[in-house]
Amino acid sequence: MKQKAYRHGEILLLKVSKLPKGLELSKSKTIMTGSHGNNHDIDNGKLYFKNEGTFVFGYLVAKDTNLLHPEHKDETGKAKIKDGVYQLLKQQEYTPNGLIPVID
Amino acid sequence: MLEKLTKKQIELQKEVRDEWIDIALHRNNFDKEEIEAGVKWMYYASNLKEPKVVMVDGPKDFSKKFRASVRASVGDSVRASVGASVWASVRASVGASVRASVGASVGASVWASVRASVGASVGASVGASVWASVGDSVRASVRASVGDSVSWTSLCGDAEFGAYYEYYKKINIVSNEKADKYIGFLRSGAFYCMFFEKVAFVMRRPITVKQNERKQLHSTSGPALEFKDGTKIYKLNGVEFDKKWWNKIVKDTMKPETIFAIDNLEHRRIAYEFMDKSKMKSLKNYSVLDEVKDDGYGFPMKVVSFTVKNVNEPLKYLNCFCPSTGREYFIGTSKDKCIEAKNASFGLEDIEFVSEW
Repeated sequence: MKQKAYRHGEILLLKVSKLPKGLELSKSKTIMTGSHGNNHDIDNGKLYFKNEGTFVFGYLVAKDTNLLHPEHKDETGKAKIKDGVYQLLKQQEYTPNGLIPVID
Repeated sequence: MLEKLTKKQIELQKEVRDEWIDIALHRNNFDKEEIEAGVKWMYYASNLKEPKVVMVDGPKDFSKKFRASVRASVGDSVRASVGASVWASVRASVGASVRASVGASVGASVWASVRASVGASVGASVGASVWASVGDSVRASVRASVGDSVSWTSLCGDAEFGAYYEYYKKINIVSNEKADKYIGFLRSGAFYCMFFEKVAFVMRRPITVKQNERKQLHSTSGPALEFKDGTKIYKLNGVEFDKKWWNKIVKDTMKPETIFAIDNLEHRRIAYEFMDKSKMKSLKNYSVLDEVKDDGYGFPMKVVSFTVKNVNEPLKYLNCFCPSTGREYFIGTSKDKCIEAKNASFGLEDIEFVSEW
């Protein structure tokens, strides 16, 4: 069965079964800071940041969570996701010299 | 409880909205006496000692005057002390009491109508684009000293509140002495203020503000934002460039391979937008490897390939569109198929996308 995911611009939220142990809860509601001042934020839910390899940079435990961004949103101004645990992945692009994070 | 706006009250929305966009961005007044009195009032209301008030003509002037003051003489960065106090004593309390008064007096539909027609449109015109840009510019110029800890208040950040408050005041829903005083301060031309323990810097409005129809800072003929001190900020559709790159893009002097080599995806996107698309034919061995007519959001996807000098392998790009904004992107890939390229950009092989924004 395919893993389910939400995409919010250059961030992917991949549904996973459980939260890995030993993560530290972040006080922040910002998933990622945008280089043009446009952050990817959440209104509700818990964020845990941990780099795992090239793509994974943390986890989100979503409960009544909307993803917020000035540009990546639906007509209601929000992007609602289902409750659950998500792995956070940052989009990368291929170059002949290796992968580089998508910078927007 | 006001449940419905009259025709006259609806017409007033546009009037107030336009007036506040004008106040925030286009008027020339810079009433130093009024500004100084306003700053001192905010410090006084926050139980803080009166600061020295320094007027600046733009981000460069601020940087110069900030550096010229011996760091100790401006006092501590004041997010914790001045920031919290000023914010709590003036802006937050004013905002909260106004919101409470308005909330108690108007119905949901009136609230939504005013928010959409007055507040949000002023915010879109002034807040998001201009305020963020000025903030970035200020912080960039004195990042080591100011960092993110500077406390601020500003016309460009609070014009939305000004419009919202004055609209409700004009239709006799609310009247608040502190809010009136704060609005008077904003009207005096305090475009951007930075508060420190002993010194408050107040910046005058920019002399040029150019925006596109989406109210993003944008100009193809010169700086989108220009201050009296010579600070010039070049932006295309809200994305900032240095002058050299801005010039190349608006004059479309770059070869497509140069555009594809830009490492910032937003810069690459804008440069491509401005490029004459017939130049794509000049790319050596240009071909479309795969094409999807509808990505699920009504946009096509392609994987395109071409070769460039001094790179052994053909370069491949996933040509796709943002489902929220409709903007077109080219993302480097090693894959030949669209879906594979999209999934691989997140390090995955097979995913079910529930929703994308």
